[in-house]
Order: sequence, then structure tokens, then C-alpha cells
Amino acid sequence: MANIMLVDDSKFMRALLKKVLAGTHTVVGEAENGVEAVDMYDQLSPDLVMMDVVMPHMDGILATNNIVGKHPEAKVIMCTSVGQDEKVKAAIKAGARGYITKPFQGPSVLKEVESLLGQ
Amino acid sequence: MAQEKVVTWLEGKILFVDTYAARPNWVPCKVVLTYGGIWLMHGSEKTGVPLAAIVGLGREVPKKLIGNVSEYLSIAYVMAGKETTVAITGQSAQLKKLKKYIMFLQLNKKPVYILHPAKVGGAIQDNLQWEQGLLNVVWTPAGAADKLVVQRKSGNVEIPMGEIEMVQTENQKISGKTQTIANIKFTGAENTYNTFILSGIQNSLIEYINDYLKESGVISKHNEGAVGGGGDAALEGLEDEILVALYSGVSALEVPTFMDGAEVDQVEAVYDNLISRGLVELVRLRKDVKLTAKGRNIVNKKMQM
Repeated sequence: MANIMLVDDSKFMRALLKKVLAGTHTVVGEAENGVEAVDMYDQLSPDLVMMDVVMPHMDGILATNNIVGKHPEAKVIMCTSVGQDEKVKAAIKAGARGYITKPFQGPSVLKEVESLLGQ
Repeated sequence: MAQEKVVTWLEGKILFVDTYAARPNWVPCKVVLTYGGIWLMHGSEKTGVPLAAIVGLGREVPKKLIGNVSEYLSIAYVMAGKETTVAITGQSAQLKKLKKYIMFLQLNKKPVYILHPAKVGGAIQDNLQWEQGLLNVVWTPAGAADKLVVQRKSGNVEIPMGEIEMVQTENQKISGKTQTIANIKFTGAENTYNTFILSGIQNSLIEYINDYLKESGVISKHNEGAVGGGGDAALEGLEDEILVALYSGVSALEVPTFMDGAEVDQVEAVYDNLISRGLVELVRLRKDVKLTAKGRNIVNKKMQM
């Protein structure tokens, strides 16, 4: 059971991811924007981060860049909306290791999480 | 264009769309589709349009150019470097049949590049390579099991038409060049899949799938499923969230406890609305019960044992 941090400005999306991960992993922290996420990562050192892209204050790409810059071992799965391929490419550059497009299906999210945790 | 075996034909009227004409000039004509192309026969004239020359099918023509005709099929083609658009009107069923057969001939047995599965359940699949393939359009009686099949060396990819959720174009950088691909999302045995197809017949492929989705009611005939556009996909906040939750695998029975602040009755009212709009279907009715006096009596006795 891994410790996972959720970063999304939508409370609903965080609740949905939490529901998907329930019973398999522990959600140790939730952040609403990139600034919070960077601070929270420093404090919690989670095994994995699920990061939304479009957020206020600091977007997910910049937040990922900051987190991976400080913690090269950080594992980040980027959650993008359909048709945001340019953002996916930017996320790759920023250091994200997994990518999920919304809407997602629970089992696929878990598979992606397991796959990244196994690396 | 050589004479070839006839696939279908119709008699109706044809208009060579002219931006500068004072009024549209519809003339009686016969349209014959062969395996090589389309013959447009009007008066003493006969124009042959090879399938490869068609650059647009079913595009909307400005009303002022076509006059008071509500149903027509437009065909844009380029011959001798000049683009021409013709509009054909006739019996509705025949127009649909003509369009469907033209698309079939444009798509079937055509080489494509395919990336499959580009996504599984929303998760982007890494380390996949584009592969060469051959697109096959498979029709079955009454369309019950129509599908697209892409033959490729690593195995066939089957896309059941009835399981397609959506299709859209996307720009992708392939071998350093930005290309427009068709992104087809469909439900497979255990998951949803996104398949990317790159071909020279992109527009026809998307039109073919969208026509199918319209005919089967998956998207609106008038509003191609645009979210928030006031069509059949316009959703309220709670409806939207409930649909997303169901899509992600949250059980319908768990939704009321999962949705923050939503009452059971409120969620069930949303279900009723979604059912009436064909967005979800009823699987079974949940039983809500309360104890009778007899039941309470038994519980009391049990507790005394």
C-alpha cells in the first residue's frame, strides 16, 4: 500500500481519485494547486503524486518541474483532459512518468499507479 | 473515368454550386456511383468524378447558394486543379445510401497508419509505435455488428461501430512533422480504448463514424454532441459529476455517499433525468425496506435469546 498525494483544484476529481485508490493505497495529502503541491511534497515525501495540469496559482507542469527538480526520484502521474497533447509533451519534459486523460476508468488508473510504483 | 460496375444510383436534381449565381439552378440529373467514381448525368452532359478526386462529402453549403432545399448531399471535388462543389437532392433514403456507399468505397481496403491502443481507460500507453495497416469496413445485416477492422502485422484491431463513444481529430507530431490524426474512442471487452489512425482519408473516416453515431443516437443530429451547446449533451453540475463518477467505475448505489452533500432523493432524480435522456440505462431497481411490526417482533425475540 503506497502513500499517494492528490493535486487537483476540483474537489470532485480528488474525491473520485480517492475513491478509485481506496483500499489499495493511502491518500496522504490533497493539494488544490501547484504551490500547495510543492510544499506538501516536501513535507510528506509521498511514493507517488497524481497531478492535474490546469490549476490556479501554479499549474501542474510547473509544479512537477519544481518537485522533480528538488526530488529527482519523485514519481508523478499527470492527469490531463482529452486533446491536451501539447501539455502531455510539456509534462514529459517536466519529469512526469505517467499520463492519464480524463475521463478515466478506475482499473486503468490503478494499473498505471502500480506500473509506476513498480519502476 | 472508365465505365465500371454500378454500386448504386439515384435520380434527383443537381446543383453546381456557384458563388456568383443570382439564384441556384437545380437541374434534373441521374447520379451513378461505380467502384471508380461518380457519374453526374444532367441534360446531355455527363461528368465523371473519380473517387480520389473527392475532397469533401456532406459539407454544408450556404443557404443562399442552394435555395429552399432542406436535404441534399454535397460533394466537393478537385479536377484539373479546380475545386467544384455539387449538391444533389433526391429521396432522403437514397441520398443517405449514396453517401454511405461513397464513404465505404473511399475507406475500404485503404492503407492507414495505426497506433493502438494509444490509451487504455484514459491511461496513455508509452513505447508504442505507429504501424502500417489496411482499413476494412465491415457491414453486417441490419448493421448489427458493423465494424472497422485494421489489419496489421502485429494482429488485427477491431473497432465495433456500436461501441464507439466518440471520434475527433487531433494534431500529433509524428516523425517530426505535425499531422492530423483521427482519435477513435471505443469500449472493448474490459476497458475503453483510444485508437489513433493516420491516413489520407481522414475526413471521410471521421464523417463515416459521425454519421453512424448520429444515426444510432449517440450524438445529436443537429449538434454533434457539443457539451454545453444546448443540445443533448448539455448537463447541470451534479449530472455532470454523476456521469463522470459512473464512467470511472463508481457504482450507482455508492454515488449518493460519494457525492459530497448530495441527498439520495436528489441523486435518484438525476438518474431519472439521465435515463429519460438516454444517457444511462436502468439495470435494476434498488429495494428500500423498513421493518414491519412482525419483523420488529422477531428482532426483539432474537435479542432476548
